Amino acid sequence: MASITLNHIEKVYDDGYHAIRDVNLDIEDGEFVILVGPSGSGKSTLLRMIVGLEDISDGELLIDGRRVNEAAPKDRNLAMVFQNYALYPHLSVYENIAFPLRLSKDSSLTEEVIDRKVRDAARVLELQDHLERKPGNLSGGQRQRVAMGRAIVREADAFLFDEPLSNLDAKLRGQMRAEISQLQRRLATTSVYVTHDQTEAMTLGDRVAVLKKGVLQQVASPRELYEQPLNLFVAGFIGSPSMNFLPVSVRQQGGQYVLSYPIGDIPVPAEKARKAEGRDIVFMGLRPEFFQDAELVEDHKRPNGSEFEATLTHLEWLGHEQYGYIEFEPDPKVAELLSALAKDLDADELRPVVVTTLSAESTARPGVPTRLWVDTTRIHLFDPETGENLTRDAEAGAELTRRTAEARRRQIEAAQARDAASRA
Amino acid sequence: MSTGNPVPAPQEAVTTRPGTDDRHPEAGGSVGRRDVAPETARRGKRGQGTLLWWILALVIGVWCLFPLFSIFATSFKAPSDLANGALLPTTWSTENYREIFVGDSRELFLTALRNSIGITVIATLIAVVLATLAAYAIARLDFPGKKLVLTVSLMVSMFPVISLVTPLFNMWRVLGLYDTWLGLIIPYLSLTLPISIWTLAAFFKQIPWELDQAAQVDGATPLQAFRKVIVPLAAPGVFTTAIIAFFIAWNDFVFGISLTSTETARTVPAALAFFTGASQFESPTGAISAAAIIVTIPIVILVLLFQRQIVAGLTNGAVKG
Repeated sequence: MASITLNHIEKVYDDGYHAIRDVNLDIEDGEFVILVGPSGSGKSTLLRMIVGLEDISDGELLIDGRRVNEAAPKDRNLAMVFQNYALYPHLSVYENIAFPLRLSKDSSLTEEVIDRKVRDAARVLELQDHLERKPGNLSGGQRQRVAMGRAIVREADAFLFDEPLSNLDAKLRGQMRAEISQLQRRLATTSVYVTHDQTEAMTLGDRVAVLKKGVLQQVASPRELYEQPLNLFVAGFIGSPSMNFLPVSVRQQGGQYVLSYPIGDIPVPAEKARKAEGRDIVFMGLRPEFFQDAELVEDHKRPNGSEFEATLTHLEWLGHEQYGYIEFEPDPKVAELLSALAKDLDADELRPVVVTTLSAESTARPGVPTRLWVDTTRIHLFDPETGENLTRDAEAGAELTRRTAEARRRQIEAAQARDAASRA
Repeated sequence: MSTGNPVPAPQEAVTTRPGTDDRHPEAGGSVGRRDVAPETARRGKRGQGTLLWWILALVIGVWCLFPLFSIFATSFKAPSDLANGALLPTTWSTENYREIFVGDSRELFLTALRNSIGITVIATLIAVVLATLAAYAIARLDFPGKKLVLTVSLMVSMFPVISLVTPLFNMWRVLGLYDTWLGLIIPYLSLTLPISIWTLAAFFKQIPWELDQAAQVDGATPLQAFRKVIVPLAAPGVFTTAIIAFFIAWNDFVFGISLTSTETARTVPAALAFFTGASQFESPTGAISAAAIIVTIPIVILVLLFQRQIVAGLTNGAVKG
C-alpha cells in the first residue's frame, strides 16, 4: 500500500527525443489510475519510469514520500504485469508465481509460507489445476492470470499494468477487465494501468490521466473527462463514437444567440454563447447521443434543445441504437482546422461528417430529410487555436471526481467486509 | 453483445448433450462424407511432398556417409587387402585397431588422443564462457563499438588459416609457446570465438527482453536475472555453440601439424600424418583409417548426449503464442 507522487517528471532519450514533459500526478493510496493516450503519447514510458525500467531525466518520483529516482526496480517493491506477460517459460506455473518470493531476502518466507501464499494466489485466480503446467501449454487467459498471480503474491506496494489485456480476444478481455477491477478493490492496492482502449480506461479507472505527446492533458474521473473535458483533445479522445466537432460562428439573431454551422443554424443558451464572444470561429463539440429523432424526444426534454432538419447520408442499425451520419462540405479555412485536429487525435483525417446516435425506434431513413433534435445545454465550445474548452464547468467536474473517490472508498470497504465475512 | 453465443433452437438443445462437441458421428453423416474426399486428396499431396523430402534426404545421406563407410570398411582390412580395390574387406580383421592401441603406433596415437581431448576441451570451455558473456552484451546492451566487435570477429574468422600459420610459428618460437598446449589453445580460440559469438548473440536476441525486466521487477539483481532466467533459457544455445566449437578445434589439422613438433602437444589429426606402415613399402592406410574411426567416436557420442539440449524452441510460451 502506498501513494505514488510524480513531480515535474521529464524524459529525454539519448537521441534527444522528449518523450515526457513536466508530468505531475498524485496517486493516492488504493487508487486505480489509468494512463491513456494514442500511440506515442508516452504512457508506457511513464509507467516504465515508475517501475524503474527507464531512467528519469528530471523531476522527482516519490513512493510513500520516499524519493526513488535512483532506486533499482528490485528496490521499489512494485509489481508489474507486462503486455506479453513475460512468464518464465522454463518454470512451472507454481514456480512462476513463487519466483518473486524465492528472490526475497525476507527470512520469514520459509518453504511452507511460500507454498501457502502461492496456493492462495492460485485460488484467487482459479489456477489451482494448472500449477504444475508450463506457461507454453496455457491459453492466453490463463497466462494472463499467471502474470497477475506473480504480481499479487508478494504484497507489493503498487501494481503496474502495461496494456495487460491487449493480447486477449474481445470476450476474454471483458471478463478479465471485470476480474482485475474486483481484485483491485479486494486488495485495495494502488494501481497504475496503461491502455489505449478507452472502454478499459472508463470502466476500470478511479481517475484517468490523458496524455498527448508526453504532456498530461487532464486527470479526472471518467465521468468528468466525458462531461467536462478540459480541451479539444480530451473531448475527442474520450467517448466512442467520438465527439463531433463543428466549426461554428456565433451570431445574434432577434435577441437570441445562434450558432451557424455547415448543416444549419442552432439557437443556443446565452450563457454558452457568451463564452465564445470575440472569436471569429469556434469548435462546437456535440456528442453523438446529444442528437435524437425529433419525433421521439420526450416533452420535458424538448426545451433543452432545438430542432433542425438534416438529411442522413448513411445509417447503421445496431439493434439497441442506430448511428446516423450527416456529411457536410466544410469551407477551406475550416477544413484546415479540421485536419490539424485530426492529426492531434491520431486519426488519418477527420471526415467532415456528423455522427448521431438515434434511438432504435427511430424511423429515419437515409436520403430523406429528417427532423432532428439536439440537446444544446450539454454542448461544449472550444477555442480553435488553443483547443481550450470555453464552456467547461470546473466546479461540476470536480464534484464528479469527488463522487468517484467516495464511491471507491465505499467499494473497497464493501469488498473487504465481504472478504471478512467469507473468512469468518 | 452480453451473451456470446446465439441461443440454439429448442430441439437442437435437446439432442446436443452437454460436454460433447458437435462432431458426434450420428449427426450429419452426409456432411462428414463430403469432407472425406478433399481430406484424402490433401493427404495424398502431402504424402508426395514427404516422399520427395525422403528421397532427397536419402541421396544427401548416402553422399555424406559413403566416404565414412569406406573408411570404416578399410579400417577392418588386413594389410594385404588394402590395395585390392574392393569396398568391403575379404576378411574382417582388427589388426589395424591392434596396431594403434597396442602395436607400434600405440605411443603416437594414445598421446595424441590425450593431447587432442585436453586441448579441445579447454579451448571449447574458454570459448563458450567468453562468447556467452560477449554475446549477452552484444544482444542486450547498446555500447559504442558494438558493430566493430561483431565485424572484427567476423573478419578474423575469414582469414585463411594457412596465412596465419607462418607468422604464428615464428612468434610462438620466440615466446616459447611452440609445441605446447597453450600454443594450440590460443589459435583455436581465434577460430572458435567468432562463430560462438555470432551464434550465441543470435540466440540471446530471441529471448524476450521483458523476461529480464520482469525478473528485475520481481526483485532480482541483474546477475540473478541472468542466472535464473536467461541462462536456463540460453542453455540449448550454449550447448549447440559448445559442440560447434568442439568440432572446429577437434578437426583442425593445419595448426596441429605446424605448431607442434613432438608428442607433448601433437593432436590426433596431425599424428595421423606420422603413422608409418610396417615397412617403408607398406602404406599405413589401414591404421590411419582405424584412427580416423576412433576420433570420430567422441563427436558422435557428444551429439547423441546433447541432442535433447540442442532442441531449441524452449522460449515458446514466454510471450503470447
